[in-house]
Amino acid sequence: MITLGILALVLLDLFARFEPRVAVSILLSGLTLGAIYFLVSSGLSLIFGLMDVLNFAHGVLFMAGAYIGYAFYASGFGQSMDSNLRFLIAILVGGASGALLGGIMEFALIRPLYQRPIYQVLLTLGLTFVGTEIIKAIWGTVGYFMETPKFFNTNSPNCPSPSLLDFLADNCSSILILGRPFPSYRLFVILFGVLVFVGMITLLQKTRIGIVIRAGVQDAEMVQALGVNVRRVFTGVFALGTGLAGMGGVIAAPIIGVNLAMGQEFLLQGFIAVVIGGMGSLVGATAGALLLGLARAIGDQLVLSGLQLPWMEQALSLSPSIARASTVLIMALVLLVRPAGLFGKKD
Amino acid sequence: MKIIRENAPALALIGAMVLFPFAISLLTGEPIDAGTPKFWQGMLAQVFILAVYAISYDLLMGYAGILSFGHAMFFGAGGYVVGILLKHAGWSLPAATLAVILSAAALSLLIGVTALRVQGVYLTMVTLAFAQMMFVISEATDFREWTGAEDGLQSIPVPAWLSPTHQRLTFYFVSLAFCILSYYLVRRITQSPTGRVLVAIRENELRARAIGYNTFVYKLVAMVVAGIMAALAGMMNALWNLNANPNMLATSTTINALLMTIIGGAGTLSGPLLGAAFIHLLGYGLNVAFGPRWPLLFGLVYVAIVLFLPYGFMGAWRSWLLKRRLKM
Amino acid sequence: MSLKQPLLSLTGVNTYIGQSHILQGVDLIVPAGHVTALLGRNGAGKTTTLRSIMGLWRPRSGQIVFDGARLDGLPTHEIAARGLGYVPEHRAIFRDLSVFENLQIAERKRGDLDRALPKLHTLFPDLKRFESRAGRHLSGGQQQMLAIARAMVADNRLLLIDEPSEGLAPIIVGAIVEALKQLKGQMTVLLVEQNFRMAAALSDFYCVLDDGHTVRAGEMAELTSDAALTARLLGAG
Repeated sequence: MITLGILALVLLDLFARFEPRVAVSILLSGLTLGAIYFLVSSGLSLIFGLMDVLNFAHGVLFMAGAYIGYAFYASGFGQSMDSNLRFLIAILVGGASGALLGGIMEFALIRPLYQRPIYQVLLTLGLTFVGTEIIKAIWGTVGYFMETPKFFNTNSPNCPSPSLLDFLADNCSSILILGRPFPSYRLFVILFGVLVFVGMITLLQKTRIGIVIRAGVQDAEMVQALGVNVRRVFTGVFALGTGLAGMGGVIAAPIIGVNLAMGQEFLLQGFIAVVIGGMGSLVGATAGALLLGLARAIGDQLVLSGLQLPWMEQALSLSPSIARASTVLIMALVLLVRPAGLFGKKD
Repeated sequence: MKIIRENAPALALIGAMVLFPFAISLLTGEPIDAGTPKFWQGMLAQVFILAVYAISYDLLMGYAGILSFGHAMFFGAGGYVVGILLKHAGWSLPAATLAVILSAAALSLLIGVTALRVQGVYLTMVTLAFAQMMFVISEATDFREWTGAEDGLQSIPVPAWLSPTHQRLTFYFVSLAFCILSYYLVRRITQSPTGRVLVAIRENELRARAIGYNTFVYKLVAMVVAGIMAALAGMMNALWNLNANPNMLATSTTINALLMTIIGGAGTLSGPLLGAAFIHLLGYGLNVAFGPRWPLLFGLVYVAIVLFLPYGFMGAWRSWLLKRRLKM
Repeated sequence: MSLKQPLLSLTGVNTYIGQSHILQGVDLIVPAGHVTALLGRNGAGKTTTLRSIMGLWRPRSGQIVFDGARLDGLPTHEIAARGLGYVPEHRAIFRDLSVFENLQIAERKRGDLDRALPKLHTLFPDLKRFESRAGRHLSGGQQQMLAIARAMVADNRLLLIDEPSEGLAPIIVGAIVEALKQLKGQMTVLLVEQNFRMAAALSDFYCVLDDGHTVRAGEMAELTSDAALTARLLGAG
């Protein structure tokens, strides 16, 4: 209810402030960001909900997925392949490497520490540091730019595509939405987020493993006493969560690039989304990610066009860093009102 | 006499540190304000500053059981406040120091009131988020003329009498005094009733609350004291480096505090002291030996310590003592 | 004391929780096909005994033998898989899962639930009526029934039931006693119960713990016929 209320207020303000086509394009930008945040926050939230581990290494696995996926996409190894196929495989490679690294991490390093929860947090923080240094050692300190595949990046005289249907034929890099061009790749990111969300909900609600996970979030010990090997489920869920993050890294790469700052940045946004939504709830993590994405999109727009409040004579122009920093304030606000988050189950 | 006997190791250590520059000078035959003696005065001055930073973190984590991942923000804030006031506002050092203390108190109150509303890992995340916010702001181009954005605030005009380049020995003794005073202050706090309440909160907050302590206030006090100390350490660090930069606010700076505290042994005051010396000297050694790859080794050392030496050097030392005593 | 073949036996079990020595050498025999009541004051170590059997606390020494094989040292899920159903204190049903899902999760082999469901629905008709209701919307008695049913989904040979009457109204306790009575003879049960009258009505054998030690064990008839002994062992009651 509260979330819907906030959402309604945000949207109302959005449409009051901007003309509809600008508002819609901000909304879509927000959903794009929200979809990427969701890929990070859903895993964080599930892992915390099930095994009480706050995984500070989530960001570095997001980054590792991006680098490894990019390396595959850009390497000569796949160059002969069609760029669309290459991109699809890159997403899978990023996801697989996130899942593999996360699974190994849980099994080898975190598992011995279930009796000492603080040390798990200390450990994952240390792994962030180590992981970043390893990536730096392999790929250097300069960032990379990842091109979108041909499917979202074809030049033709028709561009930008007048409609979604036309896009399927001409594959322009942007599509006209209410007469304003919007990058077609970002629409794909939104769609991808929706698909993952539906997949996760199906997994959690309709499968036996989903039942085990939902039960384990509440009482892992009791699940174990029913004969389920919870430790194996832990490793699986950890790998699932970090796999989503790794995939998210590849998905985000064509938008934000591949660089050493992305891990920290998205870990932080993931945390904020989870704090806003409430730990241990997939719906919460999703709602938090969407709210945050929208807030960022609106913030970026305001920063870009300059912030003019009624009592100001001149618009205040700011750098995008300010919009980035301001999301922390949103988190602080939510915490003050509802310390357990909007959908929180655990304190 | 009794006081001297009880504190003999500490007094001996202080004495050794006071004599250290002269001893090195005698040993190497170089003048006290040049060459090897000057270099080692600098190394130790940095250790003293980092030790204060580590002790302030230990007060939070080791005593009050507050796991904050945002401690770097106080360290960085101290550096930036003193830098901006000295360079852009032309304040005197004492006035700037007072401003550092007041602003750190205000900042830690603000963070504390928000973050202490939540417990455990939530607090950890929230403090990290605040620190990241400060980090992002320090790099923001909007305030370039004040902060120097991503380049940092360069060439802070440190008063001539304290100049780390020209008056190294003075800087050494000021850092030493700063370290001794901070250590003494925190020891007074941890041995006072307040310190015992903090430990009670760490062990079992519900029980401490049930006995009737307002645990929120106690934790807030710990945060403010730790915040001020970290900010002063950050100030000293900025004076030493003659600059304040975004790196002081970065997560790696918080990790550094964690590392020094854990490696030495959390919940003991000599632990962080030891940890600071170890980390700084090890970092220097690794840097000499491995060049730009040393942070990786550093991280691996940290991970190994978390896994295998959870109570740090002091913990390992104490359990060794205990075992030996049991055998006798 | 005439004892049949024991399905479960504990010998000299010592369990620590942190630094505290909770079980200080518990001996216990649970004969196959019967209900055994584990009695004793609050804090005597009854719940810890059940948790030690399930491997939820690891005994530091002693033996736990189930059907001829050692259980101690095995991980909890393997202990359960040997055929032990556990109904913990406070029931611990999954609040966010529906009644049906609460049963489904207890399947160890495909088809367990299909096979068990008719019997469970006869025992506890409410579970059929509220099949899709979330666990948190059940009454205390319904939660207790669900917890017992959950332990019976898989093909278990021993049920460990901890304080089934705790916090329930007398009339509901009556219904649960009736249900458990129907189980008698079909299953082996180790029952922890504060309510002596309920324990007496259900059990064939008893074992009394005090301060983590086994004080006395025997046939229930011995206790029910000797009020003085009962009072001495269990205090007033």
